[in-house]
Amino acid sequence: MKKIILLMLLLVLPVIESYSQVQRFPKPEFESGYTQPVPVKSFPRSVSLEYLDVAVLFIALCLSAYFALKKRSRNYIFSLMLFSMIYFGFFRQGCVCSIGSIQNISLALFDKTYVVPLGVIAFFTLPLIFTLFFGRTFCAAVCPLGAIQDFVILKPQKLSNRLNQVLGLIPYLYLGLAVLFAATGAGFLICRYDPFIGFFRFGFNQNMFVFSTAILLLGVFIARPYCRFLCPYGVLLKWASVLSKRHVTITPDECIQCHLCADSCPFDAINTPTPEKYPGDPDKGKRQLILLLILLPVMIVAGGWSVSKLSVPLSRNHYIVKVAEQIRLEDTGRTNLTTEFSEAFRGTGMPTTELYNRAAHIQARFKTGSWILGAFLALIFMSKLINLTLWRRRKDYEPDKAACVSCGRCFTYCPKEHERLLELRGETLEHNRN
Amino acid sequence: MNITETDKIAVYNLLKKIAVIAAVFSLLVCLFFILNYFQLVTNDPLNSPALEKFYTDLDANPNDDALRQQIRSLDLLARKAYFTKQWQINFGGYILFAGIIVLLVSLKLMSSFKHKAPELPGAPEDTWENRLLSQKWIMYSGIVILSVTITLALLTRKEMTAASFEKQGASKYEIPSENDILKNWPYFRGPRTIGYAEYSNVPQFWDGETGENILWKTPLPKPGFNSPLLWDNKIFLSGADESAEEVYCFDAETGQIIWQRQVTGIPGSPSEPPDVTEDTGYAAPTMATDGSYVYAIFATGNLVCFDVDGNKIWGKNLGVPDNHYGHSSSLLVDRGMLLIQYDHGNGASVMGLDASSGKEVWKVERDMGIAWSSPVLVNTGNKTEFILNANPNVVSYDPKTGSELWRVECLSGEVASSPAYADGIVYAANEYAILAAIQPGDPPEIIWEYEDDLPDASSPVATDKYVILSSGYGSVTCLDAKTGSVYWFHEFDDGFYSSPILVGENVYLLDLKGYTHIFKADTTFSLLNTAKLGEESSAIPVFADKRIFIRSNENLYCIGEK
Amino acid sequence: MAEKKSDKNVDRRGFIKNGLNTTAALALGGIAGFTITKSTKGDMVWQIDPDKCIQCEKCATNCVLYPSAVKCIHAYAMCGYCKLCGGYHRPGTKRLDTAAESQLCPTNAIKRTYVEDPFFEYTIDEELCIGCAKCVKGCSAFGNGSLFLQVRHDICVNCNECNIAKNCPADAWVRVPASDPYLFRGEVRDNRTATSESGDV
Repeated sequence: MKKIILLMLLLVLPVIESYSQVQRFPKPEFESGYTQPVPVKSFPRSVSLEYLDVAVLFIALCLSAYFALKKRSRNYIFSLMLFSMIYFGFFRQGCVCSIGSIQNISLALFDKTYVVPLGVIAFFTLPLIFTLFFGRTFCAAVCPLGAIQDFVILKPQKLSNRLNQVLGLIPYLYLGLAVLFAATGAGFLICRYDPFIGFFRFGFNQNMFVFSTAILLLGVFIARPYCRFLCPYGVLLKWASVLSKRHVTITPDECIQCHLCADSCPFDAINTPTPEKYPGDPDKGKRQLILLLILLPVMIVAGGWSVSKLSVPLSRNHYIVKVAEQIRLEDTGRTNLTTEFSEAFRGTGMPTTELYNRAAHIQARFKTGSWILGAFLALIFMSKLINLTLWRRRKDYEPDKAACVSCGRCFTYCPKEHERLLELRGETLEHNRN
Repeated sequence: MNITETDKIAVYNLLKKIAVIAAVFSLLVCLFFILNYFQLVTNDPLNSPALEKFYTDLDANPNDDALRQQIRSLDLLARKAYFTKQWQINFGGYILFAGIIVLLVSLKLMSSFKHKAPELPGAPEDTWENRLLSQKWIMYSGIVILSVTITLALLTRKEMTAASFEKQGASKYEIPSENDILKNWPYFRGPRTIGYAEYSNVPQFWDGETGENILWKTPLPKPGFNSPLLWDNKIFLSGADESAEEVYCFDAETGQIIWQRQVTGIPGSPSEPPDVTEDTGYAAPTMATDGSYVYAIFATGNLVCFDVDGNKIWGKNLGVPDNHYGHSSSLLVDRGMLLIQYDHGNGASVMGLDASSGKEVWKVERDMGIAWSSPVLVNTGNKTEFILNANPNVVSYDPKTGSELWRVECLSGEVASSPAYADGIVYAANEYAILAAIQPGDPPEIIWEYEDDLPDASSPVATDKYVILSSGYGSVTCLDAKTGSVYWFHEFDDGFYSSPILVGENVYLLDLKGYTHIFKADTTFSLLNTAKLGEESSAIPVFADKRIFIRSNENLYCIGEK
Repeated sequence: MAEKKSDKNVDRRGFIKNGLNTTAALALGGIAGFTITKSTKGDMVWQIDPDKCIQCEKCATNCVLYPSAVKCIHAYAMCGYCKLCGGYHRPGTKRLDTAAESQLCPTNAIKRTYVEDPFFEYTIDEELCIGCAKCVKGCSAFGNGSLFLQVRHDICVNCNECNIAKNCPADAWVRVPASDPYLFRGEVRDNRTATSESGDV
């Protein structure tokens, strides 16, 4: 009875802030010998398992390089790919992955208070180091996202060169935005829009189910759509692969230009030979190159300036800016409705001047970040254009150093490769003709 | 062992059948998932409105046992439905996964059976053409994106600068200079807080009924007994009733309301306002301003700060005061410190808050009764003193730190009158107590006392020669400032809640019926004029360059020569 | 003549490529080295700061797992063991019993047992708890605040960006070391690094 009256009284009292810990009711003294239980703490997987993951990553990278460059066997690469999909994908549920690690590293570089786990640093650097040495062997056999896409390829369509080139610009935009958002603390875009994590952990967040299924279905017909047209880590891998010391080749030997491998790559990553002589007008070509080089700084400034104008809407993705805008709307009388965000903020007792100052600080960071993003994108555009004006004679069919993921599908198309395999097995040509 | 063609065709067909079954199965499970999801979203079993209705019914009829049974069964059903759904989704996920794996594996095996021999491509691709085309496409897409971005940037330029926090940032807070303060009317009893007007070129004749010398008159949206403030052609007032508390800003030239803001979003604000009497109301304390921000406090204990353009800067609740009339002590702000006298039934205190953030800098708990008086800030020679009237003491504090400088016990009863000051002497008075002339110091000394016709809500004003007292029943006494001997005594028809204001050599005193009596501050009584407002009022008028602003119970008037 | 020129070109290109390769490797090493100075051995996991939580009920709906990895914890040391429990009983209920219509929890996850007069013990069955915070709200408003939400780390998959953290209106989610991953009420908290989701930028 007493407690009910107390409850009624409490209902009449002023609104109490939800986070205040008030000992309204005193600690009971038990006479019956009752002992209070202690709440149980359950722990996540131990640190040593995290190191195990890094070790598995390292071994898988070594094996992948060995299978692609030395052993040259699609079957081995495929098996390693399956293992990676099961281990890094379904068993470890796709997190932390090397693609997402870009964000953690960005945040670590720009946020003083953020602490990044060693394992994440390893996931970021190891594939890149291996790529610097051996080419993009990470993508084919180690990355779980690549593995799941590769697994569903059934009827890969060939895309035109220009489509490949234009769509290939999207990963740069994605990388830029992801780094900008991660570095300013606005959030992890790559994780938010990861299409395959839902499959790996059997749990989708809201709208991702449709997007994920769509991309996977697309992957049946357009091979590795995420890898080729979205993956931001792929940009870094591309750069490392172009500079790599060694790279996978279609033939173990010298190319005999039989042209049999031309249609072998589902990812359109094989470069065809170029004509013997420069096909265009060399003077026109030179003028175009000079024009592009002159335009380069202009475009960089234009790109930086135009994206910097978008810095305010971009900054709205940050929690602090979102709350500050809502509080400002309420305090200047432009809206009568409050949101949970503004109510929660008012409960913290932080003065709005401090909130506005923080928002201003974050927007300043977004301003700088957008300038860099715009300049970066313009640089990429112009580099692509300049790259296309430069001509290099190519005699053989080669895997494109940037785009080839070292999957090994092209090996069996090459007659020289067949020779090598027969030699290994000590068999004759007769025996192996089906 | 050789695998024959027929065997291979048989295996291929088998695989085809498996693939079809797996495909259909996966599709069905997928559809089931989508259905389940929609069901969950539209009809969450744990948040059923039917159950809510039952609860309200039950609270109205707590002894309806049949209803209780109904609720129990419905609740059990809901919970079962929830957990079944949970199991379905989780288990279904695994089944779908298995189905898709089977489908993919069989499809892949099928395609391996149909392994095509590589074909020779036609003439080697003319990559040069492709290059040029790629170049064109990249260029076009780049130009499109750049022009879209630039157009968007130019179109939304204004909006973006308005939305940006960098450009606007927080309103700039500046501490005003002594001159700026004297040019305006930032406190209850004038820029010097002791009832002095800095402008004497103000009208002596006006009539609220005929409109003579009334430049404009604006009705007030909500009632309040606080006096107006003036800063830089803006007049600030607050008003409140049981439903809302508001702060207003008027244009001093035209009388138009520039902005009005409701005071909302204050954590700790009581859901029910405390009881107040009608002649005090919810907005009795006068606001304070320093030119950058304006500060207002209400009977609920809500304290709010807006900038002069109406943007809320901060707000807090000081705790609902236990005050049977209603909180009345007005605010002061001095060099970035907001000073608050908060003497009420469940604890008396005085505090200094950082004006730009509202953070408490110092607070002194006092052992005093409830007070309705307002503090003053005076320069007593070598320092600024923050002096408060209360029951039973008059206390002086250092406004920067809250340390007590001196105290004198001389008052009693319900103290609503504020201190006066002139030439080194503090004058404190209250009805049924005394008027004490106090020499501050260590220890402070009461030089003389006077016991008749003392003020209750009105506050005296003093010069180096005279002390003018006004009482709640209409009397005005003029005393010698140094000795306390009476020069003259005059009785007016109506009482005074407002306080006498020294304007040059004259005194303007507004009575409860709205008549402003203008007389000389001299050894003999000489009335210059009585100006009629035509309305009841208890606030203190504001004196500006050639203007007087009076807040009556219903309106704000601007008086000036036409 | 052309051969020599193309050879020279290949060499020059090879040299530049090698140089860039080494630069890239060094840059990578630099980034790794810098971030290692700000690293931690173990993993960082997500946790709710119960002092900031406003019990908005988003923890139940935003987790990528179903049911949510967020569960309600009871700090028995802070509990008042009241007969009328703000977290157990539905506000407005007239009878203080264990009947379904008197309970607040939608899944019947809080169990009430009599200890001695006038004390009752309230325990949470985590299998049934969905992390909706209704009991937390009741206990914070009318009780001692001994019920609060926490992430259970044997269930949580530790997403790099927690979906609940992203949507929390009170910015109550912080990253804590995996070795000490709880922020229980009633416990003394040391000065560990706890970065909130929005970051201290």
